[in-house]
Amino acid sequence: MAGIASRRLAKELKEIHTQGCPVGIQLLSADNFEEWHLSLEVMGDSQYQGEVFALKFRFEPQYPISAPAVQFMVTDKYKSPVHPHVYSNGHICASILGTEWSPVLSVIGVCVTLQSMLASCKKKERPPDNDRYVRHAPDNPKQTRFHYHDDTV
Amino acid sequence: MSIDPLEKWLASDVHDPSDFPKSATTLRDLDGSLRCNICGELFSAPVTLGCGHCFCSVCVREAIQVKAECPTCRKTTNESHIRSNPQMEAAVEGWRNSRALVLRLCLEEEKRRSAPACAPSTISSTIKKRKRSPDSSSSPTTPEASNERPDKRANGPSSSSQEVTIIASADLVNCPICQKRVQMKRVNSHIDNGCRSPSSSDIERTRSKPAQAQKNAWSKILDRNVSGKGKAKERDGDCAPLPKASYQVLKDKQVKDLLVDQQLPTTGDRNAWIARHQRWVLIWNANLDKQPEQRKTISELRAELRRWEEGRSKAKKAPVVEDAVEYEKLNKAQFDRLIAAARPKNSRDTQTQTPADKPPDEGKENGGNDDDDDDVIVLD
Repeated sequence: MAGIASRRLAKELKEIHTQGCPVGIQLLSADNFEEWHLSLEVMGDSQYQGEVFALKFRFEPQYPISAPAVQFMVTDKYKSPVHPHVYSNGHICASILGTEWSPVLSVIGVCVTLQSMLASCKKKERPPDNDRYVRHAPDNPKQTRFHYHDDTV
Repeated sequence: MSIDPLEKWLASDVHDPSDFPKSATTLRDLDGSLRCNICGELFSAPVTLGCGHCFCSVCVREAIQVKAECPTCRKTTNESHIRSNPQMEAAVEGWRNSRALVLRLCLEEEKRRSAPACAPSTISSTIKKRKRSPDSSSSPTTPEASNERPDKRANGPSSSSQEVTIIASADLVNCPICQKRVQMKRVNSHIDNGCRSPSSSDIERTRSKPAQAQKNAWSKILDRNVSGKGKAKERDGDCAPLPKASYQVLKDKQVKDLLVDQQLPTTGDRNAWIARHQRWVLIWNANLDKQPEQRKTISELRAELRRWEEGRSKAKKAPVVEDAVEYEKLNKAQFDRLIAAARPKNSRDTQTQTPADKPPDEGKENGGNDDDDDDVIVLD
């Protein structure tokens, strides 16, 4: 089992190394097949001009059948973007990371989707239930059952 | 632990379309189009869904178990829509067998074009570029060696044995333990395997006499026929797909019988039996999506199931609570029982201990009890 996940991730890593990442996305670290870090920047005219974010991917042995756990990193260097679908602890309410995950998606695919999610944001604000969620949120965003209500952004 | 698998996989050969140079985009496309979008490998038992998208049988069966839709276009689907695709399988087989050769020719061509004068500096740059692909980790000594893939398909009987011999003798070393001649890059895995005989590709590489090569080539062809027939016979009786079982309505004994019927081990608990049987049905049915001559034998399938379970149990060692709320609900009864059991014991403990330890101080005892209660609340 673990073999399939590692092989698939090895291929993704190799592709990143040989083909490079799309504009605005950079691999920060991929030292193992359990956790990868990538940086994300929204290019062009957007609410997030000049801001750089970092994404943390955590993989299970069932990857790519099961979705990776993806969140924005909140550290001294990186902040969670202010966005109606992103909580201040970095958790993301996006259906492709939960019920709409598909095994043909990849790490880079997820990054591009999140990049466009940020790019299409009209107004910078936190989700309405941010404080309540952050207080009780589990460490792993996959344990949260998000309710995907808004598909405009 | 975290680095090990990475190095292991980088040492083994993980192929992907970017093995081909950038100039050969059409070959990259060809290689990519013959790969499953789920696992990224060349299709194994390719199957098509109603929408026409193609995946490995095992991959798509696993994906459908989780979510009944096509992973690519999200069209609703189920297992009954799975159709095997023998034409694709034949195409993939053909590509699998010729890929290494095409890749080598392609890289040679690339090198020739980029370095017409064959200046040594440009050669080394080509080699450096290729270092990315994990299989060129050994330092090649001849230009040809840099193009040689560890893949045995590359050196099939048809490829020039002269060239193979040169390369083979160039990067062979003595194993420090058994003194056998082993390829430099395979020394580690050879020792890890307890110095067992090298893999068939090594044998092929180390052969030096053309006569023996010829013999090998013939035995390869003959063996394949013989084993093909043998396999066909082994499979003749039982090549019907297995039905899925609805485990919820079955009693423990009946679930166990399902395993006994398939001559599978009955170790573990009910959940283990169900998982084992489910996986067995999956790999069994996926195997039937292959052409008869490509199918695995029952014993190979059994070995596959065993490996799968070993991988699972390894992953399980650190128990992961998927859904905290669900977990709490499921185990509420047990938690309640534990709390109930802990309460009287605690108070009894404090009562029996208090007179001995700190007899006069009533207030402290109360404080201790409060603390215990707090703990209980956290548990709940």
